[in-house]
Amino acid sequence: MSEEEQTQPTGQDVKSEGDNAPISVKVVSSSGEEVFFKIKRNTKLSKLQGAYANKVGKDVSSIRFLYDGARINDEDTPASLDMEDNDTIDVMVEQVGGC
Amino acid sequence: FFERALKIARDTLNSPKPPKPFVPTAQQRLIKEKNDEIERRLHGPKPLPEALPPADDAEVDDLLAKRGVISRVAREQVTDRDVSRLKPCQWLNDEIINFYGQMILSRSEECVSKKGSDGVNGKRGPKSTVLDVHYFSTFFWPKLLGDGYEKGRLAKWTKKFDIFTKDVILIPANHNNAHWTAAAINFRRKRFESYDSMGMARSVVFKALRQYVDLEHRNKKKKPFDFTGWIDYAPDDTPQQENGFDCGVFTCQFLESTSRGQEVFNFSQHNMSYLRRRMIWEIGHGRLRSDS
Repeated sequence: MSEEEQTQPTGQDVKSEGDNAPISVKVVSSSGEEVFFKIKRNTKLSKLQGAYANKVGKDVSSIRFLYDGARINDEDTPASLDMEDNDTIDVMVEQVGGC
Repeated sequence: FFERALKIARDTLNSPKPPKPFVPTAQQRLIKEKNDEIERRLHGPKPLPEALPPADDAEVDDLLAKRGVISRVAREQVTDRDVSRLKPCQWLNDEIINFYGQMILSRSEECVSKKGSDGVNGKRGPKSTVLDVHYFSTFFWPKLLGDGYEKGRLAKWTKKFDIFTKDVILIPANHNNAHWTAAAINFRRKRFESYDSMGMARSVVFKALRQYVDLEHRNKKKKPFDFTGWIDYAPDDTPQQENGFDCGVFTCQFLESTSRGQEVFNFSQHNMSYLRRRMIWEIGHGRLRSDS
């Protein structure tokens, strides 16, 4: 399963297109489903997280987004994480244990 | 005059040489380390207190009354819903384990940068050693076991550092979304370690750790990992839980003790209610207590 999604860019901080050119990001769930997004380099990834949660019908606080093993924070952008075109974001679900 | 100078020189040459300055060889250092370990085994680590100091204990109640995001450290944060899991009898989730792991990692990084990277390896602080560790989050395990090294893109998890220069790699392992255990790759002692408060998870852990180390070595060093001298280690005296909810606390404590090179765990089921409150304090303050 794969679809193209476009995150809505708002609050433009217009820089040169080269710096802020959109990149393609693949979001992969723990069961292997893939959703594709295009996101500008300086757009906060929290937008993508919200859009993804919406798309799969989950509460955003119940899922965790990782880029190369590091937890993605709300303030992060593709640029701040040095993300490249066609990079992958992993979506993980809450884990619990007691016995 | 010349004759005299020659005589003095000759005498000096024939006199006994001064003793060589004492430089412990690698072997002697190893013996010293072994002796220290025996010492610790004999006398045992210091027992844990029964409760936090009253002022700190009161802070725990304040922390439990807070709502929203309770604390942040590096990339981790916990909310009141996560922290409330540290109340008695609750199962822990990934957020608590990863926050705790991040505090262990931050402490290690602090000590390494303070002492210089080779100062921390194997040197003993006044209490015990803070080792140069890496902590992999709870998501490493499902990636490794579920997707595998290639499909899980685990090579990218270590793009900023080299696991083979570390003392210990700490890995929390979740089993069937019901049980937490602690695993470690101990480069210092050449051991694949599994600490399970239910005494079960072993072969699956050792197999996965060995596979990971080999694949990571092939990926980063372009040759197979040399397993010579490496052993699987799951000591029989690993503290055990006596209920169906404390394994997450045991797991955090296994990881914390291992990050200090402590060979004998100084906690048991008896200490769990204290440790749960202590963990709330530590998470609330974003740092580990040193009065262990």
